[in-house]
Amino acid sequence: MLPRFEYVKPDRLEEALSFLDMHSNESRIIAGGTDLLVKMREGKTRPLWVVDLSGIREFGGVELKSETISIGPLATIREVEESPLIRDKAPMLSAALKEFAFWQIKNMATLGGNLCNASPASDLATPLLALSSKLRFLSLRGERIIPIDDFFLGPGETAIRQDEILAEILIPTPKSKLWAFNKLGKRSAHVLSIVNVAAAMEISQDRCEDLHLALGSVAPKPVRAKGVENYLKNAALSDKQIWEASKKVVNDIDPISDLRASAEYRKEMSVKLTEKSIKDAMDRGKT
Amino acid sequence: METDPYKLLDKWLKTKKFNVIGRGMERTDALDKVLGRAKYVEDYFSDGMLFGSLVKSEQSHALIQHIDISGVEHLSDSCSVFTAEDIPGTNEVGYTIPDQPLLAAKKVRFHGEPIALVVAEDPDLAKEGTELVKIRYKPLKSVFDPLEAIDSKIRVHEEQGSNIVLKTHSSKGNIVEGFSKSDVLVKHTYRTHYQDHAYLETEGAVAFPASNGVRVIGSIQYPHLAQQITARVLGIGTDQVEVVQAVVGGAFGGKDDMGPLLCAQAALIAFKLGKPAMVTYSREDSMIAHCKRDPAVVEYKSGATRDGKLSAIEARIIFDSGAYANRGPFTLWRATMHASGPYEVPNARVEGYLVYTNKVFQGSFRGFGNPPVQFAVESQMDELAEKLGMDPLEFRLKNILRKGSRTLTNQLLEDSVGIGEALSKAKEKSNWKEKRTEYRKASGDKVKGIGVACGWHGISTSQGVPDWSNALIKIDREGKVAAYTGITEIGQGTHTGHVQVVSEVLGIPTDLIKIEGGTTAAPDTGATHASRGMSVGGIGLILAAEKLKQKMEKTAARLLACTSSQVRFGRGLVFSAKSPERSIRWNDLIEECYKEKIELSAEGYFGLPKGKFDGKKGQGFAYPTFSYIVNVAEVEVDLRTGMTKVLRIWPALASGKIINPVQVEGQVEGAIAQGLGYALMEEIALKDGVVLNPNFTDYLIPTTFDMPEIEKPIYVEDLFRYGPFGAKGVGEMSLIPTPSAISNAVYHATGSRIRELPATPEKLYWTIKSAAESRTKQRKEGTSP
Amino acid sequence: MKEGKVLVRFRLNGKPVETFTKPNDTLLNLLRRNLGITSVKRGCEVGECGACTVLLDGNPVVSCLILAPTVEGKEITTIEGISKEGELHPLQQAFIKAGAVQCGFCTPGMILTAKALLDKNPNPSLREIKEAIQGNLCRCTGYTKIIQAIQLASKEIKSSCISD
Ligand SMILES: Cc1cc2nc3c(=O)[nH]c(=O)nc-3n(C[C@H](O)[C@H](O)[C@H](O)COP(=O)(O)OP(=O)(O)OC[C@H]3O[C@@H](n4cnc5c(N)ncnc54)[C@H](O)[C@@H]3O)c2cc1C
Ligand code: FES
Ligand code: FES
Repeated sequence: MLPRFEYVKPDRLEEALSFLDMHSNESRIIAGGTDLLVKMREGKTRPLWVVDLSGIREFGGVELKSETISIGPLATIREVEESPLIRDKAPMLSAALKEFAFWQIKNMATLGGNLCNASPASDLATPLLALSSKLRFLSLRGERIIPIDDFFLGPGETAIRQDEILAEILIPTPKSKLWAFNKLGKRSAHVLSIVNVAAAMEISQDRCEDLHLALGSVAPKPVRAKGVENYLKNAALSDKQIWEASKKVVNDIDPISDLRASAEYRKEMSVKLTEKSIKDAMDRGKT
Repeated sequence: METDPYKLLDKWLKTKKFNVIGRGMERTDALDKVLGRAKYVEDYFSDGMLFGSLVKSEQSHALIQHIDISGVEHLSDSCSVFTAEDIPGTNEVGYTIPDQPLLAAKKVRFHGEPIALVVAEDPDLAKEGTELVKIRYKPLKSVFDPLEAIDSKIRVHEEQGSNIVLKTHSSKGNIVEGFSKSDVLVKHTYRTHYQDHAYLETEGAVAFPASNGVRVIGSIQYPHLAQQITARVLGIGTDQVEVVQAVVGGAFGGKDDMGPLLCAQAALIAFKLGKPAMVTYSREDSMIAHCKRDPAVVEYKSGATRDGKLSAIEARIIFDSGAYANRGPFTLWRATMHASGPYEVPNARVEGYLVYTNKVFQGSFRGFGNPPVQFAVESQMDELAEKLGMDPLEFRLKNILRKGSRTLTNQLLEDSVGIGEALSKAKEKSNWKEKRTEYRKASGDKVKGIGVACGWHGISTSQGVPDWSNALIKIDREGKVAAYTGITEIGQGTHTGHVQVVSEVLGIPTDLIKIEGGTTAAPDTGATHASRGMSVGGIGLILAAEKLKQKMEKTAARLLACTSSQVRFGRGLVFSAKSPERSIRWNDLIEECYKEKIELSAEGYFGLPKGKFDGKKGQGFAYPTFSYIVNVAEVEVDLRTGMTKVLRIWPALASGKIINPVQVEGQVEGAIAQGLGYALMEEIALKDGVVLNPNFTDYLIPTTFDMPEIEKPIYVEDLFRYGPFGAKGVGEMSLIPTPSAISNAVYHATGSRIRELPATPEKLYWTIKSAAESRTKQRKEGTSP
Repeated sequence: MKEGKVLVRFRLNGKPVETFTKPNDTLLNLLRRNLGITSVKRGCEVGECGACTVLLDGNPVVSCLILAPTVEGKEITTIEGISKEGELHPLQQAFIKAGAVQCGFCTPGMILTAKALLDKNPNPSLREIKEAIQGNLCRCTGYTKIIQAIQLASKEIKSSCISD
């Protein structure tokens, strides 16, 4: 049973923006609904209005705008996963989406909803962090673009304002082809992460030129592992060096114990999956 | 004309060639199910019906001081609330002992215990109403740990002297002597946990007022039990309650316990308000409030001699019953009498304790008390073998029960003991020897292992508890056959097997036969549990069908111009053994019988013979027969994460005659999935008695990717003399050894042993890590083993 | 707040439907309670079991997480819509033949997901089958026979295409 609310479906962007402007406190946007309906059922949110954005055309789709990949907030996980553009230009995101939930949910859930839901365990925030994405918001007051690093504030908390809509996810096309995504859960598939790690890397002459490493489910919000990144910057990539760097990840994270795992296990797994992700990314250069 | 049931059963036991027995006949209910037409409880939804929604306790142990329902009354005029006070009959639904109310009256004993039902014309409104019932409690101290509960001053049931519900016992020989003769000893404690049935359909029932009482349609396993309990709660006669099973969306034992309770809840509303009423549990209600597999602690010691023979075992089994005894006395009894595993052991002492705690109550679940003890036994067998330097499978073969063996309770096994052969065949088929040596040598992040485990399971009810089979068959004038049995179809395919039984005996096509099962209109055939639905349930059908043939023999003989004893039934025809080319059609014979005023219905009844059991010593006749199972499991463990992937399982069954191999495979595969879940991932997370994961988000059951390849089962058809065609039970078997087969394989792969289920990646990771650390430490100190 | 009713119009198994729904009702409830399509099963109501699967414009979705008003203008397919002129769909036949049905509660959702798979990919690999149905939980079968049934149907569909 869902709590009572009214349903509105604006046809045009301006309509949606003015509705949100008037009812910002008491309304919730619905995209795929896979988070919102669960939360409403649990009584965690009780909006008076549920605002359906699916009538707004410009919010779907994936396209390349000069050197930037643009993803509409209503693009479903499935669409993005299967998009030839994403497979080609941002295969790490495709790989992460492959491990996300399962078919039915992928057909409904959106990238925008996933980000705005700000689950610390999100499987999408980490690749988007590692890919240095930016987010564009719209409100009656105008437009705002922020780096994704500034977006997540805590569990369920983001920098989005009550009257704003997430209007676009922008990913600069990655220069390097070295990447990895690793997810660990309690079961082989269809499971929420105990930890997930996304790595994007550039190597030159066996030295690490640049590393972007992000981890999920091991802190109140998805995090970049700056400690590891800095440690490896310009370093030679020996097994030992990678292992030493991976161990540094514990300073970048702040895991809790919950139903899915203990904080200690999350720490150990962050180290192991960091090591594995760096090596997996390097392996891509070899083939 | 043969009327002695023993001789009739024996005739079919000796039969070698069958028409439909042993065939993979398609299920009779599959068509409705693939069309989405099958009607489960909730599909009886209709306008004008009332809906009940559950108000559950928010306390683990507390006195109920006041229930305020004013909020519900404000919500809508049509809403009402039912509490213990509204029960017209007896508020008592305990299965074994009268300790459990339908709705808690003065006291709650576990978090989630049903206290009230909010009733409304709309299910959502009823649900909304549950949040408006305000209950004032006086909290009491709770006890959650079964070991603590044994001597705790906190009484879950204040009127009882102790939290120990029951002690069980079995002893044989002299264990002091046995252990002193042993060359190797192993002693450890094993822990297993709650397992949720996680049937995809939650509990439910719908009740309709009837002229003299109620008619209830429920998701049940035993219509006559639901009838009894409903009648008791309503304070009316059983003749005023009719119970029929709906199509059941999974049961696995859970609906044996929950079915009657839901029937009584729905009937209460319908009976009092005079309107059809439906009660269904939400998934959350179900996972919080419905009974589960009993958590257990098993302290186990065993010894063996250098020549590889078991010399003694000693076990202390503690079963956590939760807040109510329910089936606990029976699950514990079964665990106790199976505590040796399917092995010969001359000296044994086993003690069991069933203990109350302030947690959700225990209940029937596939395997019924057996999985926790077999986990202990099968872990010990591997550990003993290792100490002896023997192959664990060979060690088992040396001790396995065979024809003429005596069990733990000193019961003589005269026949039907095929497990030794099953074990040898599983060894060959799985390529055991090669894999055992090959995998040992592997290194790297991912390691493989192969393990074996056996299991046994007594068929039918325990010791002297009466067990019987009963069925009624009617033939109508068109030759259509209706067979009435109380056995329910709960997804396991038994009714399809029953059709095969009747078809074989009457010699007519299966499509002429319809099973009217799971209804109080049928004779009481006992519950569909204890793997007895096909085996025990089938006996009555054979006997009834035989009686019908006898009723028709004279007429047939006259038409065929032969003697009665020469009449044969087969292929839809009736013919003479003397000249088989002369035959009459089944329909013509029926028509003739109708003309001759021969009444064509017959009941088949059989009381299973049982032996004596000495309760003091825990020795004697435990079960009419046992089914046996072997599982060989192959796993791969990722040492970095502790994640186990089960790659392949080789099952081998010694369950007597296989009536329908396709259905049996389905049972084997499904039970392995449940055993795998129990072994690796399923876990009810409890904090102070509160279920923290009442959903499939965090109570994980296996998905397609968690399942191994399951080989076609090996069948050793070790016929059971009283089973229909020699069939024993199959449904529960494969679950029993699955956890230990996996855990033994994990040990083979990693050298680390899990003694507390489930072996989640995290748990296995720490176990492997601490084993590695202690090895390093030993090496440093120069005390390497 | 008083709740209103919302008019929704969509196609259900090829036929147009026009009905009122509570704004806060799910598609699952709309189908089961208002339209009597009880083949769509309630298993968990939080998107985790797949029993309530329907096809929305040909794609499998879980109807328990879809707000009823949002299906305006869409095409919904349930198990009632997949057998043509009384003839079983090859998947339905294969499920019966392979023994893939036990309690049957997961069956309609499972078959619908499998249908969406075969419509897109008539020749799926074992891995693709497992991936497609990983969100449809089955507690009875251990999936073995379900996978076999999908493979069988895939063969069946291919051979009937060739003979066409
Ligand atoms: C069974 C199941 C399995 C799952 N598995 C995974 C998994 O493996 N990995 C994972 O990361 N997640 C998983 N999830 C979580 C969920 O599917 C995702 O978070 C999903 O991407 C959310 O998208 P949505 O479109 O459904 O969001 P909605 O539920 O529609 O919205 C989520 C939140 O975002 C807000 N919102 C949505 N769009 C906008 C917008 N454009 N502007 C502003 N606010 C907006 C909504 O108001 C709401 O608060 C799972 C969920 C379920 C039910
Ligand atoms: S009921 Fe919708 S997924 Fe379980
Ligand atoms: S057949 Fe019972 S859940 Fe799949």
